[in-house]
Amino acid sequence: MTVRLRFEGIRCFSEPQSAAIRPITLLVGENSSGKTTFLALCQIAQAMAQGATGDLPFNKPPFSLGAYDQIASYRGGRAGRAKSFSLAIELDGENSRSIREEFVEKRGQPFLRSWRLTAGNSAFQTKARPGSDEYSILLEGPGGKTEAEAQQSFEVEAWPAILVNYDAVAIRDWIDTELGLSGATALTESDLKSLGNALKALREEFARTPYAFAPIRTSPQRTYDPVIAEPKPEGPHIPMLLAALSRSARKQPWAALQSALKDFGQRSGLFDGIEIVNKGRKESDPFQVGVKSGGPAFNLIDVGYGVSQALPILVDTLQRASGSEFFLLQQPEVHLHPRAQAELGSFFARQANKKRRFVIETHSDYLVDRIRMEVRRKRLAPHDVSLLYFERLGNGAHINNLELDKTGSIINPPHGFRQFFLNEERDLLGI
Amino acid sequence: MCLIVDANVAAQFLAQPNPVRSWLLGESGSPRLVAAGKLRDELARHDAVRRLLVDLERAGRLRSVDANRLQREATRLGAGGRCVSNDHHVLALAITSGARTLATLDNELAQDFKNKNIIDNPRGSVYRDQTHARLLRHTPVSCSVRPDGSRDRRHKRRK
Repeated sequence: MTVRLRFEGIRCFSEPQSAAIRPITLLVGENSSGKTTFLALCQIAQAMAQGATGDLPFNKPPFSLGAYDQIASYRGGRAGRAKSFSLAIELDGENSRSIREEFVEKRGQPFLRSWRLTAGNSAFQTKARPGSDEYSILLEGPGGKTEAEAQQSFEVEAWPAILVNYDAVAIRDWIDTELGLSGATALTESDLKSLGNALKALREEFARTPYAFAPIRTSPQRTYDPVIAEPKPEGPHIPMLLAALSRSARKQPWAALQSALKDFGQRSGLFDGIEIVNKGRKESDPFQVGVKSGGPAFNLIDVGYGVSQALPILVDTLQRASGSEFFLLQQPEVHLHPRAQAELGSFFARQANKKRRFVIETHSDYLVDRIRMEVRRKRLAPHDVSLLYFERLGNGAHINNLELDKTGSIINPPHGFRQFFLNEERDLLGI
Repeated sequence: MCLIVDANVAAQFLAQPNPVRSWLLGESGSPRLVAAGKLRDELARHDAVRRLLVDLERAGRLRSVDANRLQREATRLGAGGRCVSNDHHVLALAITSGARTLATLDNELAQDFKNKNIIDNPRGSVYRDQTHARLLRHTPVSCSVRPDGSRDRRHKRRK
């Protein structure tokens, strides 16, 4: 089964796109080729799977897609701005299942035109009627289609929950009540059950706890006050989290985290350990973050900037282990030496599994190479890795789904893939 | 056509200005170099070639094969007594990968590579110099790997 994101008419992606999401999904390509937009769409997809319909997080930090005019593709010429855009989450397999939402412009903002749940040959779709806030309902089954106008009390937002939480008989009652169809619809109770199960499966795959890291993490400070800090993509909460753990009566979580950080630090050559240096006896006294590297601990602010940039990613990844997460990362390699960049690849490979997914936008060959090596070493399967190559074309951007073989080699490089680097190699030797 | 480069000519064909290197780094066609097992180790001993291999690998232009299968094939060839050269690992690589063009100046290896009883369906071709530039192209019929990386089922592997 492949988990897939499909979308069309969004920003630089004017043409339909399809991208596989796996335990590790790597986004590579030149600047302004749509990688960050894709990360934002992953965050939105998670909300869709949780049941959100019209009110999707288009501008939830660290991503900001803007209002309708910034989101919808501009095709130029007569085509102008796209009249609508769509996003779908999909599970491939014998019985394809998907949720697709389509938006149009209304008062400058995206407005939900249709919400469609599909399971094989069955579908439940709501569609806004032009010029009004009312919806029509389309039910499709193996036996045909039924279309009806919803009553004014119809709430699009309620239907994902209804389809998941109620049994088929109750759902039929809802449909009868909302649509006045008295059971004469194209969907049998079995079809409705399939749709409910499809929604559950999609929710299981996509509705993970999302955690998005900002491309630049917060600058270190010499001394911190132990305030309660809200988790933010830039990671300003990390020193407080470390201090709270170190002062906790439960010693094991702090020891486990220190051990994991030490392991990464030594493998990457970044540090030998992280510790909290209390500047007083009371819990309300300030503290410092110490970084050990072969001798006495140095203050976080006095060691290489790479440590403070990597720390939020390491700590949050290690601490957020509810078992079902969706980590969205923008260039985790910034300020890191290639050795540490490569080790980050191994770190993600160890952390990723079917429940914990990492979508990583990167310009680091070392990080990508290391993940491919982890495939060769059989620590990851080829189908655990999705390598998405974002390419700028004349009519916008395009996503190429690259596949790895069991040696970690790319088996389907598109024409022109990494041509810049090959040209540089040729030119360097004057060939 | 997927290309194999004999380690004895690697410095000449891969580390210096040469049509082979230009083709591998160029933008036309879908160039692929095949290197695996012992041959890959031999090629990687040369610094400039090793760097080229890394770039080709990152670009998806370096193909490999299953190491066990390659070893079995090399052993089979060694025991068969049909080869005049002792480069069984190169011949085995052609058989297991489907690559049918070899860049070499070794006459005995070239003779084996063009021997229908060793490499067939299709037969092997030998690149010696730029007059053979027509051989530097990727065709799925000859090497069984399409430019998109999928396998050509029409091509039968030798057992």
